[in-house]
Amino acid sequence: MRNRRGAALLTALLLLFLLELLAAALLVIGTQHRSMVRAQADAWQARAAAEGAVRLAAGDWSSGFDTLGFGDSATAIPAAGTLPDGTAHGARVERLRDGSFLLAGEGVTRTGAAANAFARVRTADPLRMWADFPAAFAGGADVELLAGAVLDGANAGTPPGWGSAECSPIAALERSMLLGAGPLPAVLADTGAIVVLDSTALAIGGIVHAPVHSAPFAFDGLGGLRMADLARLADHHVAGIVTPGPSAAGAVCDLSNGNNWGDPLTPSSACGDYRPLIHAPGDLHIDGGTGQGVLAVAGDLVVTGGFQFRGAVVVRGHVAWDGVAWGAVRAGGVSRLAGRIHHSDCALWRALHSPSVGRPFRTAERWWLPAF
Amino acid sequence: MTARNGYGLVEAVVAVVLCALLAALFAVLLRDAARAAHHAGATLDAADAVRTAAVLLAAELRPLDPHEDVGSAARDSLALRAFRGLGILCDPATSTFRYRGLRNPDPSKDSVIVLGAGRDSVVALAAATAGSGCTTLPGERLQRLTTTPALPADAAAGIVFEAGSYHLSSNALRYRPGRGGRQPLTADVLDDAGSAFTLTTASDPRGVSLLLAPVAIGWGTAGRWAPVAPVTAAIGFLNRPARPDSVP
Repeated sequence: MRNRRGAALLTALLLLFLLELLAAALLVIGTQHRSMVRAQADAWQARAAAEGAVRLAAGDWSSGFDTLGFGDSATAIPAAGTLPDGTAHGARVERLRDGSFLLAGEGVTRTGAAANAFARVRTADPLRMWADFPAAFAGGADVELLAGAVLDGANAGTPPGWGSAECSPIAALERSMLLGAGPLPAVLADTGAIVVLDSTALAIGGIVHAPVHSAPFAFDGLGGLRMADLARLADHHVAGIVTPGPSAAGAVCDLSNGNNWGDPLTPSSACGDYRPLIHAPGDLHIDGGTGQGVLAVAGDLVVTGGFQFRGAVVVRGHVAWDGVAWGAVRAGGVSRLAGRIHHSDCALWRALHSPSVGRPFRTAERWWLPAF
Repeated sequence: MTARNGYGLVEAVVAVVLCALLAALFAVLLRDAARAAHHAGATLDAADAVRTAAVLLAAELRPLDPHEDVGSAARDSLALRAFRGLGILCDPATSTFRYRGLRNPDPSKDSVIVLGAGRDSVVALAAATAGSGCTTLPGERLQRLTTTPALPADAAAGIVFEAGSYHLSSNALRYRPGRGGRQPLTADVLDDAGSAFTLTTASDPRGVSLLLAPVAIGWGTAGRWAPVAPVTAAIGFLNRPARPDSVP
């Protein structure tokens, strides 16, 4: 047999090698990209879990956090959890120097990818809010007391139908600490404002003139919170003409009903302890009905029909009042008052210490902070 | 007649034809393999660039306050405050912060958004040195930040940022720190004309819509095609203004 030489086998092997090299390179590149995609997906999952932990912490706030001192921190509620895919999440709450709170969330995926999320929230300070109600009615402009009006700042009364269950002894303590123990004026009007009193109107406690615009956000908020902050906190946003009243299904108070402002006249009822924060972004006309809590009106307020309210009322604009209030009312614009307004420690305390006022809310500016 | 070793003409012709056929076959095979490799590589590069751009921009844009932190926006550029670190003021007397960030604060290019009880304020960073005296948490280090003007009395935290801008130019996503040059963040595989930044609702920005189109590639006479379809990423601002009825 002849010794025959050729390159076919060698050539075929070389080509096969080249093709395999190409395939291997593609496989490596593909695998690397898949790893990168998976790593990025894990990072996003961890970040989402961390942000979720922050939202959970903000939504399940403990009033105990208010006692944290500057730099102190506590485990948020819920303390920690695990998502169905195994991603763990948790958060802690830290008190910052300005009184706000840092919510620090963390998420860790099953593969070990970790991420943080930070947000800053505030809570209202009821003690600061007391200072905004130094009279049955505080006005930033001219005030007219119409025929039959009764404004009582002197008697620190307990609203009819309320007893020791509603009126904590702390109410009187806080009031005397923050507003003094003595009787309060019926009307506190801004320096230079004209106060006109009908001959049949009563101003128990007298009329006092003093600068009332000096406090931060005097009529644009409450206790250092701006109206925008109150809007973020509010349980209900109302406009137009409303007639509020309690709404319950059996023994369960219907919190979703924007006209349900609690049941101040029957404190033992399903909505007896519901003291919402109600915000009106513009003008509001209340025609009869009942309510309790905190009412913040960014426009003008008209009250007719014998509306009864127990709690704190702050109005940025004008007020035409013909209702009954236990607590206190303040308004920045011209006010025409009929009906009755009784300064009440008890009603104010219950309103300012309601869970609606005490929960955290996002700061007016940025509340999510960058995470690194 | 002597025996002669060698090929006859017919044998030679057959051999040449067979070789030519084999060569053509291998050439087609190699060309297809190379084309497939090129296409796969281009697809991966484009997908990688699109993904990288979306991830980078999402991380950069999401914590911004659109009214405060986003500057001029055009189809191919977006100016912003690029956050580089977050500090929690732990010792007001020495302006020491518990700091975490992508890098240490740099007075030559950084400023600070001061967060406190009042409105956020922006101050220039005059000096940054290592701090001491506070207990740190994992991931934190202490930084003493001197600002101009000095920190307000109610300061609680600070966000360290540099002015920067993102650009879709020269076939890549690029970042320009301050007045520096544009640095590419992706491979040069993006189509400038087909890619764009769009602020969703210019008057009340709630996010950025990011359109990323890969540049078309071609091979021989096969025409040009996009390795991956254009991708739109919607990035929402976490700090967008809340509707009155929104919850945290």
